[in-house]
Formats: sequence, structure tokens, C-alpha cells
Amino acid sequence: MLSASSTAVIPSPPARLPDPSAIVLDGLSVRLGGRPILHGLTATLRGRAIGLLGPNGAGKSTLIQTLLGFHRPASGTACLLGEDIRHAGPDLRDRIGYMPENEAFIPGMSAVRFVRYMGELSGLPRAVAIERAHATLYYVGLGEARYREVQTFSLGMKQTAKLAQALVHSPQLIFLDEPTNGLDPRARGRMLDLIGEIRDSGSAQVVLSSHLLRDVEQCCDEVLILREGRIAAVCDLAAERRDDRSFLDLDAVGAVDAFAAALGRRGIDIDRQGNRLKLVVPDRFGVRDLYALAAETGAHIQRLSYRHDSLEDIFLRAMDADLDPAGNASDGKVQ
Amino acid sequence: MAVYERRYEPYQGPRRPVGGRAWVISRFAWDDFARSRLFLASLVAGAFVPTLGLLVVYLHHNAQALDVLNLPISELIRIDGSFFYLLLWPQHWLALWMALVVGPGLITRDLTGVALPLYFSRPLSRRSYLFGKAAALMALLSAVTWLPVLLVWLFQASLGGRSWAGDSLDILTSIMVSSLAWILLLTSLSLAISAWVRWTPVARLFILGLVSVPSAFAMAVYGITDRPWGLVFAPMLLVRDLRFSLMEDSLSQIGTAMRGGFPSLSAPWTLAALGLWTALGFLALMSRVKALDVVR
Repeated sequence: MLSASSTAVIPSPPARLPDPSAIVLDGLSVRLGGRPILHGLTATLRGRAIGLLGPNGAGKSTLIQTLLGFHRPASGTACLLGEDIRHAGPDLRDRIGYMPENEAFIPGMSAVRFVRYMGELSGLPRAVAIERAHATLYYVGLGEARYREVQTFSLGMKQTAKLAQALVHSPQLIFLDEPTNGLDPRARGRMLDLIGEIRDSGSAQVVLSSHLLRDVEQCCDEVLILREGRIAAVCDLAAERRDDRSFLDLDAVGAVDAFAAALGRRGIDIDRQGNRLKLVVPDRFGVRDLYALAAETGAHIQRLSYRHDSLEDIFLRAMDADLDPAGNASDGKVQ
Repeated sequence: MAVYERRYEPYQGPRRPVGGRAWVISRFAWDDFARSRLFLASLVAGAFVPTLGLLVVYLHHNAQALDVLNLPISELIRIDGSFFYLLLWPQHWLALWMALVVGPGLITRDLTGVALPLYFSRPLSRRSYLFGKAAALMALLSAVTWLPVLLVWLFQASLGGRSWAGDSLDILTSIMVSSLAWILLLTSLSLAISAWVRWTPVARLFILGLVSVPSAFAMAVYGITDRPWGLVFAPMLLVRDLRFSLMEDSLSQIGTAMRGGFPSLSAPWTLAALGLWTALGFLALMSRVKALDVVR
């Protein structure tokens, strides 16, 4: 219902830190045009920057659009910032920013007017919207071009203008759908830096949907990997990075059996293929200890290299893994 | 956050109530209208006939001025239904012109720029979005139709006394009802066409065609069947009929002559037919305005 008192302002709730669980998916299924697109997704995502990763057509954009209320779930539900999307009031959308994948602007409107308009639609009073539109465009690097019409912008500038409209009202959760699509390396770097700055500001959580592993790896601390509308993996990248384990890959000759047995007795996980050993060793166990143990058991280490599970490893494993009938990776986690 | 600081800072101040956001759409649409010179020229032109009407009413009641000017205005022109019909008629044409000038761009731009997801990711429903757009156009059309003519009626009522006002309530009803029906019809059709036809010149032709071409069809139906039911397909003739039929008792010979011998539907049927046209327009509009199109 439309209120006549459109010029009045209502006080905002006190500034809140973003909810630790930005997104909770509870058996979320979506059908579009009669076809099932998302299959019973269940996950809890609480990272400061959450990556939605998956090949084209995996359902990343559909998931975002469903969370924004553009599609009705066929079954299950989801919570954003602690509110069920099926019953959430309009104020939830004031706390959300959205940068769509495709071009989105209003022809004939200058960038500053466009961003101001979107700010006012998100509830900013007129004077505040004007001020924040200018400031946001300066922040994203479009300050000098803010009086130009958006349709005259290059692709990179249009992407940046879309980011500005998603930020202007100071949302707590920002959905960025393929923000680096079509950008040259410099513009891409700038865009990723901006996303990193927003994430580090601590005032908003970011959901970054992309099919580019490097973008997600650079910006995100938690990743949801989708495959054919199902969750292929949920990975806490921050925990992976913090993990106190080292992954070692070595080739040994001599008494390799005895060496492997000795490693096993010390609680070190081994994956052996002939003379090649893949080890997961605790930080307390150094390389010097490893050489000492090899000498002790009569083995000789010929080659040794450190390695970490990159997001690419995790992604490729998730793509190869079998999906259970409920639609999620067999353990729901990839470590 | 200050512009020169170039850093991201959250906003913690008050926000507007969600219910009032549709007016933001109306305000921005008005700002866009005001950028068009054609629009401003049309708005100024729209003041010409009502100003003339005010002048005639003033002179009609000012014997001194009539003596000075030596004009027999009170004998030539009677302030009755026909007078107000003559004021209203060009204003309704002007409303059609204004709808052609500004209507097609209202939703087309948002569709062309794929901006609807940006609106609907905010606390704005499809209804509030359409209300905002429609309110902008309706306010504009009101400013050139019933508002100026109502002003003339009130001026005449203030000079003519209570008895004239009491006797001329049917004129007032005709001004208001026919204008509002015309405004609603033009709004729904022009918004619907602007949502379906993205090329503005073609959208204008469509609006013009939809409003005027069926009049010929209505005449043809009348010629064949000798019944006025063809009017149902001719919204422009329906509004014309409404103007006449609601002030029928106050029409002088001039007005009756302007009406011609063409038969008409009764006022309730006319209103029902116009309501149907308007509803169809809004239905077509609602089916087009959505955040995303799902490809089946």
C-alpha cells in the first residue's frame, strides 16, 4: 500500500554487523519453465566474501535471483541475513545490493542520476542520495565520468556503474553476478580490488558469482561450488589457508616400504603410488625430520616438493565427484 | 562519506518508508518529461484554451468591460454545457498528444536498458513500479484536461452564483468523469504499448492507431447493423459519447449539433466498455513488466 507521507523519514535500525550466516539454504529447489534448475540445495554460508562457483549453466545466477525473490522456490527455503526469503518484509531488500550479470542501466540517464535514483529507491533521503551517488561514483573510479550517460560508457565502466548502484545504499549483503565479465585485465584487477576493499571494510558481506576460479580465489574466503543445479562442494578457503598442515609430494628410492611404515607410525597420512609418496604432515614435522627418518629407515629422498590444494584442485575434484541423489556432493565438503 | 575521501563507508542514517518509494519513480519520470522541449511546448499550448475560457467567463460577468470593448459576448456565447464541451474537447486531444509524446518512453527505457532487475531487487513490487509510472503520466494528463477546465468551471461558479453551480453539476460530472476515463485509458494503453513495442516512433503509431482506427470500424458496424455496439471497439468515440451524455441536459443547440446523429451507448455501458479497455491495457502491461523473462 502506498503511503501519502512519502517525504517522511523513518529511523534506520542501529548499524549492525553483517549476520554471521549470510545465506542458509534449506532444501532449496527451483523450477523454471517446467524444468528443474536447482535441486534441494542445503548449505550454510557465513564467509565475509562467498564465492559461487560453477561452470556455465550450473545455476549460480538462478540461485542469486531466487534469493532476491525473482523466482519462487518449488520446495525448501533459504534465509538471507537471518530472514526467510519467503516471509521477509521489504526492509530485507534495503539491506541487499545486487549487481546483475547482464547490462543494466537506464538509457538517457547520466551515471550520477542513475545511481542517485537507485539510492532513493533504496530509501535514501533525497539529499543523502545525491551526496552518496557522487561519493560512490568517485569511490568506484567513475568520478570524472559521472555526468556522462551510462550507455556511452565502455563495458568496464558500465560494470563499475552497476557496482556503484549496488553499493550506494550501503547494503549489508551484496550479490555480484559475474562482475568481471568482459573486462580487460586492468579493469578486472580494479574490480577485484574494489570487491576486496568492500569485503575488508567489514560493513558488508559479498557474494561473488563467477566461473573464473582466479577471481573467486582472490576475493573469497568461502566457496559454494555448483554443478548441474546441485552443490558439488562447500569449501572454507580461509580455513584451508589457515590450516597448519603441509602437503608434500616426494619420490624415494631404497627401503621405501620401511620409510612409508615409519611415516604411518608417526600419524602422517600417506598416499603411495610406487616410489611416489604424497604426504599430509603436521607443521611440527619439518623437512629435516623427514630426511632423518628416511636415512634411519634406509630410504633416499630424490625429489620433494610442497604443494597446497588450490581452488582449482578443489573445483576439479568437485566436478569429478559423484553427486548423491539429494543433489549434493557425497559429504557436502571438500577439504 | 565525502567525495574526496574515495573510500567505502556505510550509511547509518534514516531511510524513507517503503510505501513512498513509488513516488520517487513518478518524480524522476516528471524530471525526464521536463527535459523535452516538445513536452514543455505542449504544456504551454495546453494553457491556451482554458485561459481563453477564463477570459470569456470574466468578460461575460463584467458589464463595464463589455461596454468598453463594445462586444456582445453574453449574446454570442452562453456559459453552458456546450461552452464547457468546447473547452474540454481540445484538451482531450491535447492529452492524446501528450500521451504520444511522453508515454512510449516511460517503460521502454527500463526494458531497453534491462533495468527492471535493479528496480525489483529493491523493496519495490511490480504494482508500485507501475503505480509510479502511471501516476506520473496521469498527473501530467490531469494538468491538461480536467484541472484547467475545472478551474474555469469554478471561476464561472464563483461569478454565476450558487444557483448556476447547482444547475451545472452535470457539467462538472462530465468534465471529471470523461477526463478521468480518458486519462486512465490513455495511461493504460500507452504504458502497455511502451512495454511491448520498444521502438518509440512505432509505439506512438500503435497508440494513435489503437485509439483512432477502431472509430472507423465502429462506423462500419453501425452502417451494416444500424446499431451502436461497434462503439465498444472505439475508445475515442466512447469518451466523446461520455462527454456528451453526462452533460446532455446542459447542451445548447450548438452542442447537440456537434454530437451529430450518430447513436450512442448509455453512460453505464460506455463506462463499462472503457473500463474493459483500460483493464486489458493494464493486464498486457502486467504480463510484460517482470524482473526476468524465463525462457521455456
